Amino acid sequence: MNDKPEDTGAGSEPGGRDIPEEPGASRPDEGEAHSPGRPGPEAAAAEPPAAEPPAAEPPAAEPPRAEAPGNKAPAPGEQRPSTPESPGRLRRLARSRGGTAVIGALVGALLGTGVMAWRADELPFLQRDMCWGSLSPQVAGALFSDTDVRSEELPLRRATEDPMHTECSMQGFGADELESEVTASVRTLGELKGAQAWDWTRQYLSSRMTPLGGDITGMASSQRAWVALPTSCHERSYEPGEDPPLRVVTLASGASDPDYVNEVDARRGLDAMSRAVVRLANGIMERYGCEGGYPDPPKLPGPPEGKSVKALDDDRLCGLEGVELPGWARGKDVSAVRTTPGTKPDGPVRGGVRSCDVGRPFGLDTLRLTTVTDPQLAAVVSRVLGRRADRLGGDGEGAHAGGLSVYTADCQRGRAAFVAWDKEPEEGDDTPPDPRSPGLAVLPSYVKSEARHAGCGDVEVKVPRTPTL
Amino acid sequence: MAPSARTPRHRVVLVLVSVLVLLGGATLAAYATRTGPFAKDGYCWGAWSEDGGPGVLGDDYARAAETYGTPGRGEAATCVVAFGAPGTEEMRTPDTGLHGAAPGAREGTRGQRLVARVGPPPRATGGPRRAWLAEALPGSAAPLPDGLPGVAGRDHGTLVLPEECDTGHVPLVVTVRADGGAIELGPEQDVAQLLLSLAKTAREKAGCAEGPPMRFTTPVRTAPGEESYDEGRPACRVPGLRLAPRRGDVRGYAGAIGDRLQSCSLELTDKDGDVTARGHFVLTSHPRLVPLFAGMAGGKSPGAGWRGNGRIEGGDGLVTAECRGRPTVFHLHLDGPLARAATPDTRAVFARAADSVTERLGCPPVGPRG
Repeated sequence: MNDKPEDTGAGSEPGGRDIPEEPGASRPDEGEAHSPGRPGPEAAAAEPPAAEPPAAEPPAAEPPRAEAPGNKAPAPGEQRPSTPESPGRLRRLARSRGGTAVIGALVGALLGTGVMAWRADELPFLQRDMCWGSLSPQVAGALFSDTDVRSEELPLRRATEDPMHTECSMQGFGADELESEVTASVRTLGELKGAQAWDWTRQYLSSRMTPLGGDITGMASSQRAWVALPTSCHERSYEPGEDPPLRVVTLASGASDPDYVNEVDARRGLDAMSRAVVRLANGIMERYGCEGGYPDPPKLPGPPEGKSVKALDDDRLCGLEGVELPGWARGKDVSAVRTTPGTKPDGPVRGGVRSCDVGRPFGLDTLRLTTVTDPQLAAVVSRVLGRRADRLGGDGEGAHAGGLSVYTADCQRGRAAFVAWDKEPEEGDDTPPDPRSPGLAVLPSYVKSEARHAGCGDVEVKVPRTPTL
Repeated sequence: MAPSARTPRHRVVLVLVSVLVLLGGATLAAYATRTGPFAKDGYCWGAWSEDGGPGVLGDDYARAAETYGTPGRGEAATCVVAFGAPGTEEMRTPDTGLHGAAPGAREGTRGQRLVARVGPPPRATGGPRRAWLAEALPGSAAPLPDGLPGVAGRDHGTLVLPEECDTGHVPLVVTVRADGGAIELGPEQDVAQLLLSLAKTAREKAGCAEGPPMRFTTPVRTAPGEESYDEGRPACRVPGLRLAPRRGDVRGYAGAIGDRLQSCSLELTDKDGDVTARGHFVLTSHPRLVPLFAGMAGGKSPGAGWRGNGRIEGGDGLVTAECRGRPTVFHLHLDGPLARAATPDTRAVFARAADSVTERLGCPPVGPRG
């Protein structure tokens, strides 16, 4: 790919060089003296643009335009007699060898800048691809319902220079007022821990997200989308067995888990986000110089919204055999469940992540259970809790703090992570906060069930009998 | 007078210029199309050319190649490429012999070689086939992307050609491997590219190029590194695969772990680090990889309580059974010392290992319960 443009660049130069070479030979003065006879063979070869037919009118009209405005008045008068005896200055210029060289150089320079601008994608008046040149106006436009989309981006830097983050903001304007915003980012998840790791996990591994499928590690919803960059796509090559940090591209628009999105917007948003995030990943991969790219994702199944969210089965929480919600946690506020679209609850974990949100149909704000079998992503999730969290026992490792339980175990793909999170109830809830954690209560049976689907065999979790407050 | 004297001189100049322009144009055209004096060296039946992408074909190396046979349906053909820094001793007398490098011999002075092979798997269903499979589908390779039937590691790659190239139901397979002093052939992406160009040429030569071309766009995954399976860690990370040797360490590569292919290579090393036994665990439901195991299962049930057909003898087990609607092969081979390390015994270990995987895939167990 890179060779070709260079070839054409090199090829265009000789064209420019031809002109200086010829006149450089000899007798600059003589050339002018013999001009009537000379132009025949030589000028025809070197200078097709203007000046040739002596009688022609249009070329004669050009000189005044190219020359100083002072020529304007005499121009009409000059036109007739112009031809052989007193040629316009441009004409004279064109006839002279030095002039040929100058014009040639000008044409060459113009062509050169044009080619350069084209190569650098900086042609004026063209709609540019947004966010590091990866999203076409059409793909980016689909993310907005407004017509006018503008973007601003930070420079895209390599992982070693910018370990955390770079961003590109796309803004949709309706009637010249900012109406919505989508943020694209490239970040090294592998370096996140604690609250930052949790913040990402919470937003991007919700049950609203659908795995992109195929060979892509990534997910999308109408609000968020992410794709893991391939490990082969790093600045330096890593030794076999050495794990480069997980790097992802993401898209974010509004709240990660709104209580309700109308079906039409959700569908349109999911289609636009899933396509854009894959294009973004491809664009970044191209900019990083790594080979290959992902095909556009197919039409993905979306999450159910509002009333179409499934009713909760207390004895088969999240559709999992043997996982029960404890009696004290049941109630009318815990009546609905939503699992990662496109995966069967009691089946294999496709795409490396499966989540399940439990609660009221609008909001699902009681409990989230998540299984992460992708080892790189699981490593990020396992760093969510710090050292001060209460340790959990059993076959794997885990901890619990503040309504969040994270457990990890060795599985066929590597270390998998299991998360149980007591989502905070909404403000103004009149029931007093319960010191017991439904997440911690469910964790042992949840891990036991999901560990089989993740290929970890039997995994026992030991939780303290009286959960800490 | 003056003009008439000048004209012939002009003509001469014109003719000269035209000739020069023509010559220049022709040279440029030849260069652009890489023909004539600019033709690039082709290797292995023309499958690869100099500067053809992967580093092995790049400017850093000099190469010499020799072919043995021509790819054809049901026939084996081999091509050996010796490569090395230009001007070195090895490249002055490049070793492109068919049996140039003794297996396992890795002396520092040996020249680097790339051995490409196009051919069907060995007909024998015993040892030779198992050895071939262990080399063709090693754990130290990543599955090829976009559903291509094969794997690519840094030192080895395998790709099964489309059905049109089969003889009977035996597929034609292309492989590349590093040989002699070469430790690797390049990144997985390069190895995959080598495979694809070799596959294209092999299909043309064998007369089965009519189908759609094999290609991929998704980046090739990185092959796994070596792992140690000690202190109670199950071999290959497969929970049922318990190996507890009295002496030595179990190490290995847990490669592809997907829906279509799971592959793992094992080694038992003594305290000097020498390999004393090898093992191989594979599961595949890829319709083009399953035929590589054809004939190994036999037509009988492996025993009471088992699903599907197969046989389990000594350190070898092979069962084909349906899993999620697809015929799936489960294969385990353990050399003597590793087979003796199986806890409680090879039969139980095979059943448990297979069912650790069926559990992950969400299909009913193949082995007897308990």
